[in-house]
Amino acid sequence: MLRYTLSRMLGLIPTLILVALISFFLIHLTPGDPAAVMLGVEATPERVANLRADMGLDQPLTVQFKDWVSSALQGDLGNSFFLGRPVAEALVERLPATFSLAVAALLVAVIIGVPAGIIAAARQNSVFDGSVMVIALLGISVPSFWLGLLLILIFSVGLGWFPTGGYVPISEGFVQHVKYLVLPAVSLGFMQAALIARMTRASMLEVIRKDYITTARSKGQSEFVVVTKHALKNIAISVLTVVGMAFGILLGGAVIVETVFAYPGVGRLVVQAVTRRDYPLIQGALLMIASIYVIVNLVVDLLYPLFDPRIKYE
Amino acid sequence: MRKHLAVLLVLAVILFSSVVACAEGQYGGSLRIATTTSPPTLDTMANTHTATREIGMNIYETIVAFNGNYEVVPMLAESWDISDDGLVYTFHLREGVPFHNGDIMEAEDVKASVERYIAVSPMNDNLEILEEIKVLDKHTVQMTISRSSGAFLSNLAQPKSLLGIMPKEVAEGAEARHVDIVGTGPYKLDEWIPDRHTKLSRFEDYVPFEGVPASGFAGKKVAYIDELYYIPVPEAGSRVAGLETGEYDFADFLPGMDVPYLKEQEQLVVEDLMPYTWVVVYLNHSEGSIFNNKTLRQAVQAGIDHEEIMIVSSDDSGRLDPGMYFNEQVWHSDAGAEFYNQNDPEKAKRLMEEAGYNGEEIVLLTNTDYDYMYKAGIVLERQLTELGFNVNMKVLDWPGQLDVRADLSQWDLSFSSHSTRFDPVENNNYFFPSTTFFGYDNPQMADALRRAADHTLVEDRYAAYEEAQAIFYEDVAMLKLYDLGIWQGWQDHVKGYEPWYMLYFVNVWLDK
Repeated sequence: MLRYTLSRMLGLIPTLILVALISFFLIHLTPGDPAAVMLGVEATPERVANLRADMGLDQPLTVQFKDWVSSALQGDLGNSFFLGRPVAEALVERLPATFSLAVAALLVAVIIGVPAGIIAAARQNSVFDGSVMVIALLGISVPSFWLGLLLILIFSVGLGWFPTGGYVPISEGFVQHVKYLVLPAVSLGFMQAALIARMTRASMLEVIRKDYITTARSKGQSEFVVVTKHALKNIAISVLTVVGMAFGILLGGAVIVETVFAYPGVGRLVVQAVTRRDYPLIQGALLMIASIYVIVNLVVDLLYPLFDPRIKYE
Repeated sequence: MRKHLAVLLVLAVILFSSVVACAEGQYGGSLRIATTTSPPTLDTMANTHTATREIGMNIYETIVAFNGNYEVVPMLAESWDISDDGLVYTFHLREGVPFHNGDIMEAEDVKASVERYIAVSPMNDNLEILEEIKVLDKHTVQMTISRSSGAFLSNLAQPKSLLGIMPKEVAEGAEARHVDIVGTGPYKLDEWIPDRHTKLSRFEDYVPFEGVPASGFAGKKVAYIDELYYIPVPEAGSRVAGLETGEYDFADFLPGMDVPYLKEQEQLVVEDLMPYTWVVVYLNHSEGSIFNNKTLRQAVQAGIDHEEIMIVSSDDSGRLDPGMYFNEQVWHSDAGAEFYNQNDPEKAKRLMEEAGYNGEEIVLLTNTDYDYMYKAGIVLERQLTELGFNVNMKVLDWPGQLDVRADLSQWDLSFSSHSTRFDPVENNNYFFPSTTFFGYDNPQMADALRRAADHTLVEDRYAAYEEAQAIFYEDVAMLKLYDLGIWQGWQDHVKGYEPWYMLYFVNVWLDK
């Protein structure tokens, strides 16, 4: 197990190098100059050129990349051009808010998605099944900003139950923390719930056609017992995979939902970094998001044996 | 006539300000302000970001400041003398003005702050004529400049990259964006959590400039409200919703489409901050561009319909005006107005023929970050196409546009906007060959601007700037399209707020 984990972790390195390489060149090849943005529209070409030189942007791209990689390998992601502070510090500061939102959204997704998928499969071709599929299709298709604004309109402006946006850290009160979390978590979790429901339903439909399910039924066991005791265990791997992927995506920051709900997470930091062409911050953020994603996936893989004893990592 | 008008305007502003100042404000409460963005830093010297200056203007004060009529008046300096040759400025500082850290502001602090500004400000060339700054005594600072300048005081007062006075021990050695936020202003910094809020609280020991009516950023300032929360809410729909639910006492940049609905709400006040900026199209004057040809520039100027562009892109907050400076400013002029908004397609086509235009491609740059530039771009593209121009509109994001614009071989027309220039000298860089980014080179314009900058009397400067504006139109230096405002909304318990230049809540109180 340990050996497998170590080899998988080593395997992450090329993935992260590739991410760093692609993100670096993609960002730098996109038109945009942080020096011009920083100095404002009235800046003279000479001032822009001077600032570019101060920032090291006049160096060839390969030199800039080499410098960045060698610093990153020593744990230094550089300083943000605009914030004037270490990138790592700015990112870490946003993690608690992002983590809260990701966990809450995942809860929403799992609580809605898994039961909906199971029941839809158990009652295949019923009205419930049809409804779940339609809602799931909607969930995947509806843009999250639209859903977010709709939720604000109904639950904030109309009913006055939740604030329109913002964030209160858990240290300032759990109830307030949750109050500010509900709407962004629902609008973010809804799409993931739809994906999880579809995946759960598909896996369940496959499992309930297996012989051992027929055997269980022929023994006179109730449908509830058949589903929960026999089928559920066997779809756990595929559900865990999709839940893990969802968590990785959610931890990477929810750019649009964070913007709609004025939520101070990683996603909003990335948006600002992109609109200002804050290269070190964009690169650092992308590397962090990619790292989180691959690590979550690794953890999910390592959890497989818990659900399926046939899987062994030697 | 102009002089009388100016005097009347000053009197009106003073009278109005006195009325506002006399109105009894109430102390207490918190004001929650929904803004569009979080400041990248609170170091006002080292940055020109609007969010930085909107917050910083409550914290810092300048040696001299702009009043509501865009004139330079005393602030931390209660008076000043200028030598006969116009080269030596002696500032007499107010006594007993405390900083937020308890120290008393003295001449050494002013000197250290100016020196830091020169070291870290992106606009430090404003002070390139400053040769020497000397502390004469605790309350007197002397600045010597290399040549006489009508804009020197304005440059000390300008709100962009604000020269806020800070304690010497804070200013010395503090790198850009790494400085303790300590000023003499009516509010002090309590907490800054990026993207969550910036919280300011009343500075209880603030010493107002008694006897001088509040106006603009000058005069007697009172911090009535206990706490100001600047909350960045980037999504316009969320700002509207939060204003409606009462979560925010104030919301900035409201979408025009929501304004009629919000105006119907009894508890809300919605007004436009006019003027906020003017929408401009730069023409590429360099030799490689087709608009190096003046006749062709005149064709574009003659053919476009400014009103149509304004109606489509201004969100119901636009006005037509030819002035390079706003109608509310002492520098406003109608010079060259006959060339503004001509909307004469026949003349345009005649000029195109005269210029020998033969269907060459014209690259028009705009962006999606500023909605009005994008919408105006669409209309301008259509109007030019109808005139017979072969237009290729390139839509980028704002940083992308700035980057492409830096390469004169890649564009012919480019959108932008000009926010309030407190002093016309702020526009100089556009028109001098050594500093322009669109290849402009006209010795007559340079001469007029040099004279305007060197004069110290407002009347002489005005005459020279009026001449510069006439050249601006005759030469088609740029295309000014229209003045643009922005919509702001607040709960009716917010009293004393007057939309002017930017968010500013000094002398504002809550009646609830």
